Order: sequence, then C-alpha cells, then structure tokens
Amino acid sequence: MGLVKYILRRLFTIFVSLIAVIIITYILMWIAPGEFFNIAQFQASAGKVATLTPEQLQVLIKGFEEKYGLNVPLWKQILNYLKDAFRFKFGPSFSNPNEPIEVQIARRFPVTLTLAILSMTLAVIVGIPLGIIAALKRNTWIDYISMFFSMIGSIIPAYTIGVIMVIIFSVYLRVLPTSGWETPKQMIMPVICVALGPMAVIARFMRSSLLDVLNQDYIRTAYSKGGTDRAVIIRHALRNSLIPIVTIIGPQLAFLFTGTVWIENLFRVPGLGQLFVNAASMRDYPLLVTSTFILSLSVMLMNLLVDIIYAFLDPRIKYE
Amino acid sequence: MLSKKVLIVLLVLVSIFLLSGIVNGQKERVVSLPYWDTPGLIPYYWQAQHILAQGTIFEGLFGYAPDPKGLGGVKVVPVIAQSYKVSKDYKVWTFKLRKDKKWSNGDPVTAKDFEWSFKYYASPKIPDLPAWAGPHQFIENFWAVKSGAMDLDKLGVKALDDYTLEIRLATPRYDMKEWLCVAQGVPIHRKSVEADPQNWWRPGKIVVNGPYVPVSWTPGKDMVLVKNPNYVGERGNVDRIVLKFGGLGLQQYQAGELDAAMIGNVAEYRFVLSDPKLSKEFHEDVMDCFWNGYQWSRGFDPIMDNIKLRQALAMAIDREKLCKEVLGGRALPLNKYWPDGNPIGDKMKGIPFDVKKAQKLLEEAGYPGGKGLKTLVFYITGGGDPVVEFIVDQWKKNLGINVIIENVESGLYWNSYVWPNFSPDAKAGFTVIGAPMNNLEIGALMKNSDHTVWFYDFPTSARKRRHELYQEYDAWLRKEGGLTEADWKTLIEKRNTLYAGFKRIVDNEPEKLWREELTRPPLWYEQFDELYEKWKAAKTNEEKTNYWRLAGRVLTDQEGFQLWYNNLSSQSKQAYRWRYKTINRPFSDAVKIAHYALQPMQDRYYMVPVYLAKAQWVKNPKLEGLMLYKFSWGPGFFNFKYLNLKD
Repeated sequence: MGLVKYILRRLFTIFVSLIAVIIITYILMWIAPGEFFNIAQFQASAGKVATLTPEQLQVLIKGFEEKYGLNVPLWKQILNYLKDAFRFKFGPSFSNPNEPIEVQIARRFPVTLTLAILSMTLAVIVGIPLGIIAALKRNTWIDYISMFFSMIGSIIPAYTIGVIMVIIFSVYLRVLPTSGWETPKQMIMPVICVALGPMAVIARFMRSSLLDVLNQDYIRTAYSKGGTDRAVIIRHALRNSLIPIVTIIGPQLAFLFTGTVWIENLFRVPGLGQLFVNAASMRDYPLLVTSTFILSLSVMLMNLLVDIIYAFLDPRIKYE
Repeated sequence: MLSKKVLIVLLVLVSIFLLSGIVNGQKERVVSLPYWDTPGLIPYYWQAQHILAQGTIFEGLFGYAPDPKGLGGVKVVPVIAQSYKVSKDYKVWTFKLRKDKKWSNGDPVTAKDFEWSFKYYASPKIPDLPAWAGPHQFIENFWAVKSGAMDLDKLGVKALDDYTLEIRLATPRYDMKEWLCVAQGVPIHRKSVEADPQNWWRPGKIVVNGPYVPVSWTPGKDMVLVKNPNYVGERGNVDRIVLKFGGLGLQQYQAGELDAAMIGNVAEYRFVLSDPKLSKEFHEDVMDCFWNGYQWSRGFDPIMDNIKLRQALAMAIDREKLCKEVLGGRALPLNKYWPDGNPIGDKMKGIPFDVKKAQKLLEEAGYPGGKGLKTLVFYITGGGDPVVEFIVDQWKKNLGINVIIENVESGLYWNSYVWPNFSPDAKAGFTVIGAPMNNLEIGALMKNSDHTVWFYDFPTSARKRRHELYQEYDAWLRKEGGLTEADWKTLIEKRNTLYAGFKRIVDNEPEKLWREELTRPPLWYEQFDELYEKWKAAKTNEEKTNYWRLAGRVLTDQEGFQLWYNNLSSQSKQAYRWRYKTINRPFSDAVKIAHYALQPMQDRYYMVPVYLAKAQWVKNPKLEGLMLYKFSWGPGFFNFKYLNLKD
C-alpha cells in the first residue's frame, strides 16, 4: 500500500514538474534571440513583395497563426499546449507540416525504445561483469585491461567507433550491412556503438562500488563467520554494490531516447534523436517543446522506476 | 518427413519459377541511391520531396531533361504540355495537354486536374504554402484568394476543356515554363486527396502521375519507388529505386549497398582517387548555380560604408591557394558571380587577387597597413570553418587586418546574421554565404546578389532607420487608437507628404519597367484611402482600430520604400534597372544581359564570391542517366526517369 501511495505521489510530482518544464521552455524560447515565433511573418513576407493588400496580409498571417496556435497570447499558448500534451496531441511542426508531431513520434518511438533497451542490456551484461572482475582483481593486469576497454568506450566518440566498425565489418569483411534497422544483422553495429558509452560508465561505477562495499564492516563480519569468497561476494557484496548502478542506469536509458542522433544518422536508424535534434537547429518550436516534454517525462519516469527498484535491492529502503 | 513425391513436385515448381524468370528476362532491375531525408510526400512543401516531385513521382506541364551544356545541366522540355501560346503581354498562357498521360490508378491526366490542384494550393486551407517557391504567386488574384478575401473561382486558372489549360497572371512573366517545372507546378489527384485529405500522400494511398510510385517510406531511413504501370512517356529500364537517407555514402557504395554515392570531403576524395577501382568510377561536375563566398554582416557599423575598405578586402584573398590547399581541389576559384565559360560569366569582370592594390586601397580608405581599423568579426556556425580561417589569415597577412571568428548557434546564425534584412546586434564583420538558384526562373540569375541593393547599398543611417520602420510596421498591429478623426489627421498629413514623394519618384524614374512595377494596382495610397473609407463605415471600435492600424502599416511600408529608393547609390539603382530589364524578357535573352545587373552589384563588394564548389560522386559503371541536382539543396541526384541499368 505504501508503494502505491508513493507512486501516486511521485506521479503527481512528475505532472507538476512537467508543467514547470514546459513553462520554462516556452519562456526561454520567447526570450531567445533569433525570433522563434516570427515564422508567420517570414511566411507572409512573400506577400509583401507581391501585390498583397495589408488586409489580405493580415488574413494570411492569421490563417498561419491559427494553424500553429500562435494567434493567442503566450500564456494561452502554453495552456493550450499543456492541455493537448497530456493527451499526447502535439499538433503540426514548422519543419514538417505533413503530419502531426505525435504521429512522427509514434513511428520513431518503438525504434528508439528497441535501440535503447538492446544497448542498455548489452551495456549491463558486459559492463557489470567487467566492473566486478576489475574490482576483484584490483591492480592486476586484468583490472588494467578491463578499465582500458571501458576507458575507450568513454573517450572515443561512438560515431568514430561506428565508422571504424563499418569500414572493417561492412567494407572489408562484408559480414554486416553498413546500415538499416530491419534485420538483427543490421542492428548489431548501432547497438554496440550506443552501448559502449553506458557500458564504460557502468563498468567503472561497478568497480568502485564493489570496492567500496568490500571494505565495509559487514563484509569483514561475513568473512569472519567463515563465508567463502564466492558466498560473501554473491550474497552480501554484489547486491549492495548494485544500488549505485541502478541509479545511473535510469538516466542513461532516458538519455538514449534522444542522445543517439549521430548513431541514428550513421546507421540510418529512424529514431527520435534525429527528429529532436533537428527541432533545435531548425528553430521548430512546437517540436522543440515536445522534445523537451518527452525527454523530461522519460527522465522522470526512469528515476521513478529506479527508486522502485531500490526497494527490491535494499529492504532497508522504505517508501514514505 | 516429406515424401519423395512431394519433394519432387516442390523441386519442379521451384525450377519452373526460376526458369520462367530467366527465360522471360524478368530479373528486377533495382537501383539504390542516396537521397535527402524526406519528411513527407506532399509536393508543394519546400522539403526534400519537392525535388522528388520534379519528374520522378510527379510531372507537370514542363520538366527538366539532361543537357550538359544547359544551365544547371538541364533544359526545359514539355512533359504533359503538348504546345502552348502566350499573349503579347506575357500575362495569359494557354497550354494544350497531351491526351495520353495517366495517373498511376489509370485515370487520365486532364486540364481539370491542373485547375483543381492549383486552386487547392491557392486556397486558404493551406496557409503555410511556401508560395515564394512556386509559380502560383504570379497567378491573377492568387493573394486575394489565399487570404480568403476572394472566391476560389476568381483565381486565374481555368480548364477551357479537358486538354486545354489557361493561366492568367497578375504580372507579365516570361519564365512561366521554367516556373512550371518546379514541384508546385505539378497536379495532385483530386479524388484521392478528397477521399483522405490528411493521408492521401502516404505510400499505398498516393496516386501519382510520374514514372515512379512510392511504395514504402521510413523517414530517417529510406523510401522505395516502383515503376508506375500506367506511365506513358520516356523512361529508363529501372524497375525499383531504393532511396537511402543518410548513412556513410561511400562505405555503403563500397559494400555494394548503393549504386552511387556523393563524396563529402577531401579525405574521401583523396581516398577515391588513390583506389584503383573507385577512381575509375569517379565523376565530378561544377555547381555553377551557386556561388560561395562571404558577405558583410547586416549590422549598422558605419565602417562598412567605406567602399575602398570593402574592395581592399575582396582583392586580398588568394582564391587559387584556397581551392588548392584548403579545399583540396574540390572547388574552383571564383572571383565573379558566374564563372568563366558561362554566357553570363564570360561578360563579367572578376575581382583580381592583387595584394599591392588592396594595400593601396586600404590606405586610401584611411587604414594604412590596417592601422586604425577595429577588430572585425567573422560569424560562423557549427564549429571550425577552414575556408573562413584561410580568409581571415589572408587579411591578416596581406593587409594587417585583425578579424576574429565567432561561432554562433545555427538558428541564430541563419535567422539573425545571414538572411535577415538587417542584424542590429551584428558587429562590423562578415558571414559565410552560399548563394544558390532555387530553379531556372529568370530572377534567380541574380543568385541572391540583389540583396546588395535591397539591404546593403545605402548609408548606415538610412539602413538603421529602415530597420526601425520594419519594427514600426509590426508595432502598428498593437497600437491603440484610431477611434476618432483626430487619430487620422496625422496619418492623412503623412499620406499626402508621402504621396508627393512617391509622385516625384515615379515621375523621375527613367526605367519604364520599374515605373510600371511601382504603379501596379493596388497602389499604396489607394489602399490607404480605401481603408479610410472603410473606417468611416465601420460600426464597432474594434473594426475602426483595425482599419486605422492597417492604414498606419501602409504608410510605414511606403516610408520605408521611399527611404530606400532615395538613399540607394546610383550604381545600385542602375543595377536594379538592368535587373528589371533582365527579368522582363525570355530566359534565353535574359542570359545575354544579366551581367549588366550583376556587375555593378558585385562591384559594391558587399557580397563577395570566393569559390565554386564541385559535386563529386562515384557511380556503378552499369548505371546510366543519373542526373545531378545543381539548384538549392544540391548537390544530389534527381529526375530518376532517365535511369538505365545495363546488364
């Protein structure tokens, strides 16, 4: 019951936070240099050149503003947006008037979700053992090699690794296709590229977390009670050292929803990243607000999920 | 376990199937090409699909055919039009259509399709139609119809019969054929649009009249086109075209996943040339519909009023060295808006690379050895720009001028520094500019250099005032008042003063074509008078205020025009007169005199050409008929109906 109450309370906080995020985003766009909201005038500027009377120009601008909901004061625009956003209706975007934003998102979201989950799964499967081995074999060549590889994942941009992989596996060895997102073979390289960053972070966190736990009194107690290495590490150390890992996995996963644009472009993966990054560069404010909304919602939901998982990992944690 | 008999039957069936394909020569010819990411298939939006609509999935009355000697590598040919005639004043165009053209569902393509489509584009239902990118802006009553003030039936487009289309224009256009080649010149299929106005354009629903039909589309990934079975007309032998958006083009080509790939940088270019196989499949062409260079920022620092300073800077750049060392041979030096070998470029004088002369000019400008000149700013976006770094280095080395490079966010850069009328926040300095032709319309021969006349070549004080007037123009929409005659008094006085100024301009302007443009109805003072009359008849305060505001805008607009005209340099006025002469004649004649307009604009040194980029690509040797798109958005490939894949 405590958990249900806790979730409901957190959902309410998310709701309020999202409203705040949207208001701040709107205000930032309003005050940003470069005339975010002047597109109606830009569109109508051709009318000024042509033989358009001011009345006709006014009607023309009005039509455009109505289409994009710009015909009301800013506070009302925000209110209208919020009303629609919580029903997942986002209207048209400047840069793509062909279809509503929610349709574009609905098409791309499953792709991004698949990429994010596969990549994070790979990152966890490889990153955690890598960190454990490094911690258990601290200051040995195994530790150094593990950390060297995790360092590579952090230092070299995923895009560069992607290009190298394409040249090796697609051009020379011809064992994998260069790009695409239909067959499992096409997914291998993008998933690895996206996984490298989180994998490195997880491995390093796992190593330091496990080292930290291994120095705790209760581990010493467990050993003094006659526990074997295997029993102490698996039963006592690992479970506790996983808590910080869970903390970082949540935000990392949320970041993957939008932070994979380079990989998407490189491997022609039709995900959300391309859509959202273009929104900023093209000053497409309906899409920009929506991307902020989706990203914020993802981060908040991930954090909630992480907090719920805490309880299963550490029974001392109570939801109040 | 399958019985032997069943296995034999299956084997025979498979063999028959395979053999039948070989015997009948039914092996599908598939071509994969790189393409711009396409966010939809509605042809009239200024997005990647507008290039696809030009001859691949849609066709209009006219289209492009390959012509290596033609501007943009194309020539304009009739496609659905069979013949045409035009009135003496170039305002009424009548087209006879071919009778054999069909939509992909088998319906005939008729003049009524064009009439309905053009009216659909013009209707207020599409308030965000980028009218500047299409021919409709010139059609009689287009703007009144678009604004909803006039009924659709009044639009100057009419099907005289099933195969005769008449287009009446508001102003004479000599280049309607050229304009009708672009995406907004194509018809769309009425029945399918009306059946599903939101989704008619999606693969599976879309009915097209071009040689290929889209059957699948994933934005960010690819699009698949197959032969339109009902297409009548010239077409290559390719059955299926896969357009791939993004990815590593050259590597996809090397892996056999693309039949052509653009070369994107010097490293790829060198790699291709060093590879025995790729070097044989290498092609290049010059993007002569663009010019690349720099322009002065559109701020208000009076430094830029000094022509000798502008000239000195333009002459102090070693363009040969830039193209060789920085651009690695992927560009040609360009010191005029059109290159040598082009009918316009051949008649133009280039800006010489002459350091001594540049130094002398700088001295005459009041800055000997660059002394006394403040540090200028070169605005860029997206990180480092080796071309800008080279230019800045040349100015430092050859003239002793300090220029710092300032990187700004892309939206801000394009909207506030490169393409706005004025940039009040910009410091004295420059931005990069790649100025293209959007299509083959005659005005595009100016390659955007007419911005020199519109926004640069009058004194800083006047430019500043004009910017203020733009702001006043917008501010009028929020002004309170206009309820009493007293509110109109000042406006009427201003109207009369402006009228006197306007009359002086019209009476003294020597160029007839410019005079005609200025006096084309509805005239600004007629609009003002009409608004005043409407104000008198208005019943509510809201209406009264609105008419008063609109009248205020009319006057502000006119004040801006007079300020501009009266402060233009004589060279710019002369250039503008030649511009009118150029755009008011057929394309072939316009090319012969365009240099008279371009040369004086270039000689103001506000917008300075530096290099001409090359398009470079590798191509499957078996693939023929690949057309390069050289206009804005280019380089890329388009008009796929000429593609042929040799066995």
